[in-house]
Amino acid sequence: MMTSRTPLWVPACLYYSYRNSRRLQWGVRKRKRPVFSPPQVPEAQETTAPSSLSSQGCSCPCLPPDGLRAKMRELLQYVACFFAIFSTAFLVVATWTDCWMVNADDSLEVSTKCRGLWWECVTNAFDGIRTCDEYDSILAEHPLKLVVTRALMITADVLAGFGFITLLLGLDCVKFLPDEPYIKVRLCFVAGTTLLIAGVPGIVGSVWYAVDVYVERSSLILHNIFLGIQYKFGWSCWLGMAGSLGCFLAGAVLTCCLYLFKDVGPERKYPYSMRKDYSTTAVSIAKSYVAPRTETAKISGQV
Amino acid sequence: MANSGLQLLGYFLALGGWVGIIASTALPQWKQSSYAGDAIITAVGLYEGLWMSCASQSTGQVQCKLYDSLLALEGHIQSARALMVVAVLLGFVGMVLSVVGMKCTRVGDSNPIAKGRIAISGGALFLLAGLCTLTAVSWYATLVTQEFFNPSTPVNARYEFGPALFVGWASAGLAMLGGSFLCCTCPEPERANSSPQPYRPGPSAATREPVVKLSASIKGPLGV
Repeated sequence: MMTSRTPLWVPACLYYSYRNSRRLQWGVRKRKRPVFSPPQVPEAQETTAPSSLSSQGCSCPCLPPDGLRAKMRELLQYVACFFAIFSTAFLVVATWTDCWMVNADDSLEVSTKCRGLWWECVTNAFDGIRTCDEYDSILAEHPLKLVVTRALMITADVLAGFGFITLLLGLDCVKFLPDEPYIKVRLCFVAGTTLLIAGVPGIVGSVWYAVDVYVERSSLILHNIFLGIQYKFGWSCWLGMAGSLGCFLAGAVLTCCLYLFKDVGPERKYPYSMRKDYSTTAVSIAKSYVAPRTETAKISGQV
Repeated sequence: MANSGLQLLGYFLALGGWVGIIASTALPQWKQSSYAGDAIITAVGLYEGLWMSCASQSTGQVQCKLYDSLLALEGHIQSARALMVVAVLLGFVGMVLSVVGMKCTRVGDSNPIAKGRIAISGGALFLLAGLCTLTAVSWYATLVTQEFFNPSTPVNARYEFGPALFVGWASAGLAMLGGSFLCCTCPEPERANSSPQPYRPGPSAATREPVVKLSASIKGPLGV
């Protein structure tokens, strides 16, 4: 805290003592313009206090001001967090539910038949009895599609969960490592990268499964074979795709958009989290500096 | 800081409890058929839950059926459903509230008293959720026990406690423990009054003096 606050009030104090010394040296001149000193005071505060902060804003006038950028950055983090929580939930739900394939309407079935990665369930349309059958033991022979999709989805789940937790720790509103803004922003980048990586197995798994189901169905139709049941992909598959896309989106927001709002200067690289510390202090300093200056102004006016 | 750690510990305990409450609400194994007595080896295991009854075949198939009618259900199942759903909702609200109120977030930092109160109300909601779960689960367990020891129940139609009941007990305990940890972190009044004053660096006497005046004038209207 101390180190992050010093650069703000040190120039202010220096400026104040400089003004004092100037008043001592050129008291006669000071006397001439007591009228100008009160309006000069707020201007002087504004230039002294935030100048150490917003010097970079002047270097590139095309960018919005620092405050707006800080707001945008905060907003982006929340948007990414929102996407991350939903896409992680979607991925987990997609992995553990059993409607990756459902029977198509044109098949001769009175019941809904869902096949998932772990279970196969039939829901009878008349009496509502749902019969689920687990696939055989994990070491038994499974189609390659099933095993690979399982592995990909579990990888995506784990990565997305990890990325989400990292993102939570890196959020600016969570007081984790409050004194080290560098590490916090780096945590956000790590979370974004992890989410991006997590989206890859998720989208590969679900799209592959969907494509496989589609190819199977269309080849059956093409060869005019009718097995009595035809499958299309079900809502778990859609959830998996949506979750992976959400992961991509959150990761992109965290990496690319945050990178746009990252600043260049070495000591001002991550102004937002430092600024967060400042915000209350800056106000209090401004307040506490109003009094001495106006008093000195009065004194100088009386002198 | 220790206070904040206690809050975090309580929050994660309560979070685990909330997940457990959801799991036990959804699980169909509130009671399962008992193999006590004459030990007839059956190929079918029967489960009953709050929402459906299931039959698990020895071949690995599980057949489940949702309860058909809501109004024809027995009263204890309906009330257990209501209590569990209320517990899940209370836990959700408590989760959101205690995230806002905990010291590790920056939300509402300018008003630590209100923040502390929010944290305490979140903890109280977790306590209530745990109590609801405990009531529902224990009530159900009592009825299952009564039915088991009722001499008019045929031996082969006896049910005993299922895994969901134990999950429910454990998660109720976790939620209550976490909630009480969250409630424990009461802010002390005098510390809470002094903390909202912002830090003012002032090494030079010229700056320090007006600061004292300013803080005195700030304190004045608050009546401190």
